Amino acid sequence: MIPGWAREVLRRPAGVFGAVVIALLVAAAIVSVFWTPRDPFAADPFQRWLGPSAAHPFGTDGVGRDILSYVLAATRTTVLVAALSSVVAALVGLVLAAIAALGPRWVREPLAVLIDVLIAFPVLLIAIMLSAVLGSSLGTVIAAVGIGFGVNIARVSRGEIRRVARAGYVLAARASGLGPVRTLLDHVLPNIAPVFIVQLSLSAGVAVLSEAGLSFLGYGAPPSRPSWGRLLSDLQDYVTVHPLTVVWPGLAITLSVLAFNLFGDALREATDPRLRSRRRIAR
Amino acid sequence: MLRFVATRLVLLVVGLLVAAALIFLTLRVLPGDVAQVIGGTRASPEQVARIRTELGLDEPIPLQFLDWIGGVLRGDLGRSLVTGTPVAVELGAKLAVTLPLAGLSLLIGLLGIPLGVLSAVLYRRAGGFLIAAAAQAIAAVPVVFAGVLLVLLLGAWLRLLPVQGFPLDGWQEPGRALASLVLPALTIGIVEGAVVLRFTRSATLEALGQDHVRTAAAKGMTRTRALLTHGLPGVLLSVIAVIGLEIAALLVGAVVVESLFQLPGVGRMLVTDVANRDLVKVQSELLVLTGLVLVVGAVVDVLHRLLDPRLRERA
Repeated sequence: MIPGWAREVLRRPAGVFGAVVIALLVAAAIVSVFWTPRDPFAADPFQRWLGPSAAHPFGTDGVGRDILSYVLAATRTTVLVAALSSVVAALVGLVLAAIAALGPRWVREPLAVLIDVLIAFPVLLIAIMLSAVLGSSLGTVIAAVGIGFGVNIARVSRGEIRRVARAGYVLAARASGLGPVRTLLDHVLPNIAPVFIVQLSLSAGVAVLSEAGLSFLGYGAPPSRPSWGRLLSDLQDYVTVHPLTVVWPGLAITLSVLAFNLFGDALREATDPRLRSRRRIAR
Repeated sequence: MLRFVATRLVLLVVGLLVAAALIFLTLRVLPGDVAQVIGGTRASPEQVARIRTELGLDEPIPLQFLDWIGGVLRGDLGRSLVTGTPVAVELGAKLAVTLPLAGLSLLIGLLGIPLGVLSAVLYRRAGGFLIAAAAQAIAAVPVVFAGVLLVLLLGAWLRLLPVQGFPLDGWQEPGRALASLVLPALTIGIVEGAVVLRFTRSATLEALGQDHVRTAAAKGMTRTRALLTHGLPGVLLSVIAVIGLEIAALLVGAVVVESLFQLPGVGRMLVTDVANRDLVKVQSELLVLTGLVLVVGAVVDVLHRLLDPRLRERA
């Protein structure tokens, strides 16, 4: 039932941690659609800056909102950004990599140069550039991470696709009359999937970090959408007076990024035989 | 070698041109009329038209692009659409904050190299595990959160360092200027150092498994000595390549950190100008930042090639 690589991942503590936290994130996101302890947006001027208590486990913020409810509701934004930007990154990366690996020579080489140049555009700068043009929205964040990280995926996958494309079974598939696109989908992609999924996991981490940075700069989610990055940047102005409040959104972001990173690392170890043998060697 | 440098130089120039074109084109699809924004809501259509002609916004886009690139090559980055001051002068002043900030962060981040080697040598021991786990966790901390925690710890509670701002007279008093860069640089440096540490650690672990290192150990060297004399040179060389990428990350980290600590650097300038839709400044700032990343990348490539005999032989 469970594929071999998944079992390998779950045999590692890092993999289990990553998988559990990611599952919790998704669960919290779904639950928060229907239920949060309190209304995450309900401000109460008489309940400002309360410390943690039974009624408000994480305390309240400067307008009297319940921080726990807000953090829970913001999980949706995180999961959305992580998932959608990974999808965009996957598409951008795959299409670029496939063309750069298999296209005709006059397309391949300029594209390789273009990928190298695009890698020099950090995600944050792409996002700022897009915000200057399109205005700030979650879509801008998703597009920026998708493009910025997609290029990275393209660079990593390009070599991998070239390697697989030379394999005997791919030649055999082509020789027996299978079209190039079908060959790519049926025979090449499944064989680069491990490399690819590792990159996607890492891109989810980058997405969460970028959303936090961009929300802080004012380019992230609109105020109507709860977001950890926005909460963190709202609260950091008062950090010397109410130091505990920043910890919750800060920890939420850190834990999620850590989970995506650890899951990606465990996956890489599980799927890369060279890394698997390292344990034996290094002893 | 010379051939390699020449090819790399050509690639760099092509890269810079492509980057400039991308920035320019992206910003030109801006919805909304820049001239209208400058003129304000009460500007008459004639005034708006005059502003358009003044800025050359009516010229065809390729011509505008060539104008801009020509200016950049002469060191003329244009004038701010909002204040009318030359962009190059302001940018120079801001770089005097951002570059030292990035340099200081890099110095702190480089501490990740010895710590990474140490954690690999201590593989499967408590110390090594702790270092690696800490690095893994720190690499996941958003820069804003790291900055806030450092402000609390070193600024507010221990009162060791100035928390925000930069002396108005710039580097007139180098001590004070430097002190105000320490917390921001620590913020970026620690987070980026964690990334460097993780990479160094895995490169060192790989080196420990290499045949020549194992042979040296088998012939009677201790494993650590074999690593230091035979494995480490290779490790350091592959770390160089990562440092290039890290410098790019440092410059980006600076954008966030400058806003957090109210430092008058290029990053904060960029954020302000995007808000003001000061197109001329935004495009030059983006070009300078990506240009820096591309140039650093090229320099690191050449250095790597120069120092790493493995790459030279393959050529």
